[in-house]
Amino acid sequence: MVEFPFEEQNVGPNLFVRTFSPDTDPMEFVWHRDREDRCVHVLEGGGWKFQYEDDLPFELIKNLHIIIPMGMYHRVIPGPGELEILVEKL
Amino acid sequence: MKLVKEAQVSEDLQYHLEENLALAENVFRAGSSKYFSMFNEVRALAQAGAIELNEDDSFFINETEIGEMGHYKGELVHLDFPIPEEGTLDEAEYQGKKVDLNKPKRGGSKKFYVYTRNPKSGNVVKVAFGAKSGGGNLAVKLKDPQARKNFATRHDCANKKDKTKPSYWSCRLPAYAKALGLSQTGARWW
Repeated sequence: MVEFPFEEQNVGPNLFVRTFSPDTDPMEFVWHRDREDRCVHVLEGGGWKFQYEDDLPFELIKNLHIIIPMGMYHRVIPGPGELEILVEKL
Repeated sequence: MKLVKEAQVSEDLQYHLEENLALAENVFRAGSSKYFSMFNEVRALAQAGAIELNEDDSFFINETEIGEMGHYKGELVHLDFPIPEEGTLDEAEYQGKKVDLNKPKRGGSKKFYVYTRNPKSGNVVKVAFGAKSGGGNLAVKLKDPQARKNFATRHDCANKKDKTKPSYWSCRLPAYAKALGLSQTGARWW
């Protein structure tokens, strides 16, 4: 059984809304890579940050768009509120 | 750590100073190029007497060569950086097996290896070390100060000075624990 540190809803072809809770153990949010390019649209930032490999973290502000290239290490850093994002797997 | 002399620092180190992050809490992914650059920059500043280090940071800078590289069997390797035997995890697949997203593998073998320089010969050697019991057990021990103290006493960690021996690295694993995703502890040894 796969457990994810977020809630996920499939809202269309390759489109997912993911909700991250500030109560999740921060240790769950490890550096990882994905198998495809991803486009992320921030619906609610909640004070969370995002970090690409070899870059400093930046805040996930509402309506921000980011691209996560396939194979690039990245992570999210929890904030005080709930993070909600729309993920498109390209 | 804090600057005690005026010095030019990178944006990355400035971030660490502003956020009051220790080297053990390196903001970059353990094993990435900027992760190692941070140690090298702090080491250069420490050698110039421009930065004050806490005990944990001092361990990395003065006792290890982390950030430096050496040759081992023809390959260029990072020194004094423990590497889990299980390697890194991808979101979807690790060594052909499906793995959980954002979940470090827990409960499996927690063996590590490290490349380090033999101070007598100058040669780089590979040292394997780690807990025989599962990773979950190791994580629990890392979080429990009494368990760390018992381990340190039992294994005489204060007198383990030989970096080419597994016991040296087992005793100092907690210093690397956060970077390796094992626990939040910053204690120098068990």
